[in-house]
Amino acid sequence: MARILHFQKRWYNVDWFITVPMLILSILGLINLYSATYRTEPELYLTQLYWIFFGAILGGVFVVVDYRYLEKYGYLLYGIGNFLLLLVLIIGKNVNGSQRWISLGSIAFQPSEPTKLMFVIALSKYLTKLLKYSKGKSDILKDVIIPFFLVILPVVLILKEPDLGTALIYILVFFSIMFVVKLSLKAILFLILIGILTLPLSWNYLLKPYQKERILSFLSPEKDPLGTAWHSRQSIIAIGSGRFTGKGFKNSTQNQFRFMPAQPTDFPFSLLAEEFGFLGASLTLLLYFILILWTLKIARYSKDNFASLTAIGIGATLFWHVVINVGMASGLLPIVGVTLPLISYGGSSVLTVMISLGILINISNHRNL
Amino acid sequence: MNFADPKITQSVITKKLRYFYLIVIFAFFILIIRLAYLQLVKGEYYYKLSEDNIVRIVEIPSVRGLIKDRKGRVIATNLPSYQVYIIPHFFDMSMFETFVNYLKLGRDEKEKLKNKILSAKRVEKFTPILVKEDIDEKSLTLLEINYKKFPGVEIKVVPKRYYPYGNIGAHVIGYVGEISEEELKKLKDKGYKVGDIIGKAGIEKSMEEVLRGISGWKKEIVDARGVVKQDINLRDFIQGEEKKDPQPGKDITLTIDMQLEKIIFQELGGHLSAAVVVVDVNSGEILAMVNKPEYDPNELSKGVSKERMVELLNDPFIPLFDKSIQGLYSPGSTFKFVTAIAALEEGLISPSYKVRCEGVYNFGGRRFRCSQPHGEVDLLLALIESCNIYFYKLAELVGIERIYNYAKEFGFGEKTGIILQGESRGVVPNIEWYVKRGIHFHLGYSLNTAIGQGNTLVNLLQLVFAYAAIANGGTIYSPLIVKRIESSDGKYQQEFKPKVRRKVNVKPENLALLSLALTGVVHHPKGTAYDSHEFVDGIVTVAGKTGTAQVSRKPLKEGMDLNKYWYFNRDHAWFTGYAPAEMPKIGIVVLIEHGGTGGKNAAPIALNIIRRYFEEIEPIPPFKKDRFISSKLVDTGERGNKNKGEELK
Repeated sequence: MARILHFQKRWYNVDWFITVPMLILSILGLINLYSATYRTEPELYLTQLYWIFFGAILGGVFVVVDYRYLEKYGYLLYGIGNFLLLLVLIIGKNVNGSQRWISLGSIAFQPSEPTKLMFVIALSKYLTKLLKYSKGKSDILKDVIIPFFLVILPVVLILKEPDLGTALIYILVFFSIMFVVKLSLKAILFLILIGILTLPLSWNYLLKPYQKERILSFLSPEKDPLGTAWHSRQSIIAIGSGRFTGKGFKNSTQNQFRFMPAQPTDFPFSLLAEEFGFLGASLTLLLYFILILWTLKIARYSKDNFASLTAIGIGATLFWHVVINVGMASGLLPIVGVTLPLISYGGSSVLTVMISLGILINISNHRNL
Repeated sequence: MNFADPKITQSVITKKLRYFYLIVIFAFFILIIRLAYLQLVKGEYYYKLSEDNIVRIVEIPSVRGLIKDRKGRVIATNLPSYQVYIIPHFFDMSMFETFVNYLKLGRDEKEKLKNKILSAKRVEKFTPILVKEDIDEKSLTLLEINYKKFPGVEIKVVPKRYYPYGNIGAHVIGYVGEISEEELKKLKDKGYKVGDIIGKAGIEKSMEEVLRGISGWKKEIVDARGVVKQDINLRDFIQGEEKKDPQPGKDITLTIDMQLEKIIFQELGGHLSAAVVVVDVNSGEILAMVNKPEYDPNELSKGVSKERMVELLNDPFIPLFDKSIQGLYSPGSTFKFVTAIAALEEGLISPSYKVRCEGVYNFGGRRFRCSQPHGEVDLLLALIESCNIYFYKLAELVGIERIYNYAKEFGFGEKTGIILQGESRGVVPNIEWYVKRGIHFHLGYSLNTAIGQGNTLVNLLQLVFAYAAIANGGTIYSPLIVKRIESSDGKYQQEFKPKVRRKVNVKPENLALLSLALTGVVHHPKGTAYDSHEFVDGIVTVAGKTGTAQVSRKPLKEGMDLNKYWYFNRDHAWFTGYAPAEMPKIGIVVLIEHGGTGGKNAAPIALNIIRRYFEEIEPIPPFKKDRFISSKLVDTGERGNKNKGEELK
């Protein structure tokens, strides 16, 4: 049992490059959330605060529990995750036409968030084994098809909810991890082929009309100035109008006068950029940048392949969340519902990110320096 | 490659990780560039857009200036008019029936409104819908008392132009209306926009810039749904000015006397088509200007249906047309004084020059007629009796060029320069005029011109100002209709002084002679207006001239209404003159279209107007009345006494 809890020489020896950005981003998120909702739901930021505390505690647990236990139960976790995704389709709560939440009393829980992490762990475990036993032989089934099925199961379940943004994150994280391990040209071509084949299928059978509309309106915004493109437009106006120093805390006009949709979850960045300007927005990006680069460093120096791949998976998850959310808020990408880690409102997201960071610290503590 | 060896594996990952660093750096670089572009490069632009999002600029209309008559009576003013709007989102459909009953909407309007509200409730639910304009007081009271039952109903007060005198003076005052597309095109850079009210005719049109004022604006904060935020400090959200107060239009005082307008209106009685202008001969101020048929400026300002407009435009008596300014007519005998002056000034005749009138004048194989054989007449009698033969003879002596020159001298053939729109120029022909038009000139044209027939055309203003010049010793004034412009707070004031257009280059004794003759027209027993002299006897002496202008005969077509045919082929009846003859004060011109002869039909009206002017508006003090005995001077003998003409001299 002594191996279960793994302490460094000093218990407080945590990775500052992770904890400091995490702390600042959480505080920024709370401030931002308060500004966004104090008129309409003045208690909301407190809820988020509780989630952050709870997340920090859970994250702390994962700091001290040896990550190799995660490897050991990787497939089990993956199974639980997919079970939850299936469950949400059956007993989930329908909000605005999509079924993403499971109600636990007064708390709504979004399984697609933690399942992201479980998927990363399972894939890392599989690939670690593959690297260990393949002995250089390439095998299309083991190299490509099995990993592909590992990702396609949750993706299909999530698209059924539907939640295009989250499904997209899964696919991007999958490719990011697959990119690091050996992928032969043949395998890449094969994946592209599958992609091409499934694209029209998913377009016809998986995407809801509003999702198609969003993608189409991004591709040709002039076709729909007051519909979906309007959200994107208003977000850009919010960001741009922040100028260098911003309009100041609680002084956003785009939010206050309801020009911004789904503010606290999907568009926190535009509010932040509007109130704190280029200074605030680029500081936020800098914190994410540090955090993500640090995960790569952790991945590079971690003790084993599982740790390395898991760190890369977590880093990639953070990276794609930030890039897609900020890209969408600033009009570079179409609008898909993707959260901004730690800043977006939402318990499932906060808990998942906190646990992920806990695992990262854990791996970091084990790395060979 | 041996994947079993963790160290080798590690190196593969490390190698691939390099690309990861590159991808992450690149992605964040793009995001930062994007932020810098939006916030630093285009920051001001987007800031402006975010301000535009929430700031709505609402126009505060200016109040149109008042129009008053010379005595300060209000002719055109503004009344509050109530418009009813609905904000669909807040409106309670269960109250719809009650609501439309209060507003007395018709069945069609009701259905239309219902559909409009229901469809708007889905999309533009916060955009107000205009339900009805200018609701009556009963509807207003009902809505105000029950306002709690009608959430989302808003009543907006807008000024409505109102003309207390109704039809009286319609053509001078004009009317207002919503700006048309063409007007908008022309006036866009003057700040007009769709829906603005603009002067359409008369003073309302020609003084538009003065009356209009400058509208102001205020800023309001609205949210994305278009709902106005009341409980907000504007200063927190906008830079620059919050509002600009409107500048009310300036008030105008006209030279018109509405009491006189009313008198003229009454005196014109049942005549279908007529025009009268009264001026102050010593200043050029226009005291009255009346056209018949008239229109109702209150009706037109409210906006009329297309059908009604077509009806007005197709009316054979052209009610929208200002006959006193825009019309052109043959002056008939009222023009004879020009021929007389030309002959006298050029020294071609003396006043005692006599011609024998047998009722017919043979010239160039044609027979020119007179109204009756007048026997031997001198210049005075020729004017008093309006003998054509005498003037035919003068025409031969004087020639068309000299008549032309003196007509010009008296201001014919050119605009008087009144500020009202569309004044006609008129025609005074000379030889060149005929040559230009490819017409072979012969002396017959001179004969016609000498008696005001043929190609000569005048407008009423030219005529009355020419006679005013005879009255005042040779000054032709510019018509003055706006006496004063002032701002309602009294800070701005502008008075308009009489302006001399020209001094007529004519000997005073000749004008005096003319004056005598014109007095004779009314007060000499042989005078063409003598039948009406009783109207003014003992009150005022009037000098003037009757005229009967031939109308070009319309051929009788099959199926034509015989009554109308007869009417439209009747001559125009003229009377123009001034009073009191000894010390002229007012000048007048009366035109009764298709009224018949001037003496029978225009003179009585003119003399009655003059009488009532000096009875009701500007009574002559008794001692003055005694001095005005010239009527006795003329009126000593029986009618038809040939020697009376000489006695006059």
